[in-house]
Parts: sequence; C-alpha cells; structure tokens
Amino acid sequence: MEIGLWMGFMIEGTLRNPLDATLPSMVGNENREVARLEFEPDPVIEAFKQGIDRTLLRENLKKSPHDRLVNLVALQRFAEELRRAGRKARIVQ
Amino acid sequence: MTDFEGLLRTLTTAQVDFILVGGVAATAHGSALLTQDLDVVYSRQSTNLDRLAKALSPQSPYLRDAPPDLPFKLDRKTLESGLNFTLTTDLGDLDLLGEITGGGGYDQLLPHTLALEVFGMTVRCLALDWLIRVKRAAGRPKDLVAVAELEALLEEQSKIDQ
Repeated sequence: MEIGLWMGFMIEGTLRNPLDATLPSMVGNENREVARLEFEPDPVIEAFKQGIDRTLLRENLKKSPHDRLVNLVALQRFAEELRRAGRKARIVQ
Repeated sequence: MTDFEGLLRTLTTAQVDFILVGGVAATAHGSALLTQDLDVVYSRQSTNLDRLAKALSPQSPYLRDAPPDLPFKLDRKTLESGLNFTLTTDLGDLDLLGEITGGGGYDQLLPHTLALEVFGMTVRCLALDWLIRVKRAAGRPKDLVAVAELEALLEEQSKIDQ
C-alpha cells in the first residue's frame, strides 16, 4: 500500500491520501497551497517590528476569525463613542 | 461607522464572488490594528458584475469624496468601464478592487485564499502570507507598520504550527 494512502487510513479512517484534503485542513488553510511565501528581511519593516506588541497578537491568535471580527466591531463602536464624546466636549467649551 | 457584517452579508447573500483583503482580512488573521473600510477583490466576470451591482444598488453606492451632484450609477456598465472603486454606501465605506498590486485579480488570488466562517457566513479571505506580499508590493509608507505587524503575526503563527 502506498505510504500516503496508509497515512490517510491512519488519520481519516479511509483510503485517501491525506495530502489531498486532511493535512491542509489540519493546519487551517483548506483550498490553498500548503507552502508559505518567504520574505527577504526589510530593514525598515524589521525596525517597525521592534515596536509591535506581540502579547496582543498571541491573544488574538487564540481566538477564531469570527471572534476577531466581533472584537473589531466592538473596538469600532468604542472609537465612535470616543469621537462623539470629543465632539460634545468641544461644543461645551 | 462601517457595518462590516452588513456589507459581507449583502455580498454573500447575492452570491457575489469576492475575496476579503486589506485591514479586515488582517483583523481576521489576528491583527490588532483598527480599520474603517471593507476592501474586497471582486471577480470581473459579467454575471458577477451583475450580482455585485444588484446587491449594492439598494445601499446607495456613491464615489467617496466625489462632488455630491455627480451622475453616478453603479451598474454592470459602470463596473466594466472601471476597475477599482472607492465607495460610500448606507452600510459604510467599501473598496471594490478589480486588481491589486502584487497579486492581480480575483482568479490569480483565489488559490491563495482561505474559507473563513464569520458572522454565520463563509467568506474567502486572502491568506496571511499573500496579504503581506500585496502590502509589500503596494509600497505605501502608511502600510509599513501594518506589514511589520502581519510579519510578526506570521512568525507567531509559525511557532504555533511547529
């Protein structure tokens, strides 16, 4: 038996090559090429990276894409509320 | 304020072929930066242009920053005559992109997308590495911080995948 089919049986319980379907979905990127692009380091971008708060990114990566967008909508509402409060404060002055 | 869910629902309900790119795509991948508009790359096929125009017509689409009395109607003919449209709608700001620098059009980008479940819909979103590629290719100074954050996200994601 071909090794891919054997792995498919072990992972999916069927005689399918896991490279056809299961492995991409296991890494969360169904319907796209598995290989990622690699980028030449850019000194300007590397400098900006030093200021990135990676703790925020790690927290975001724990969430689903849906929850990340829900969070964006909440932040958007909060920003709008702050803008409204700012306008009101300027009118009072 | 842009109603991201409303705009996405308008497009998906009408079965418009589109790919989520830009700031909202970055958020879907984990970016912590705020964005104000929805950017999508749309298929230029005639049937899709019809669906797109029909879906957006009830939302009063109009060219952003254009004089208020400009005779603008978003229909298939208008979409065929142009490529990229920056619009205001009743649901908020929407950028319709026929092509993007470093990525091309819908057909070229489609193999580099993910199907995401958001707001109870399935939406095609440009993959993180391709999002970095097109933002790098655009070469706009305002994108440098966003690219830095996306590259940091890719590094963090790679650590998780290992």
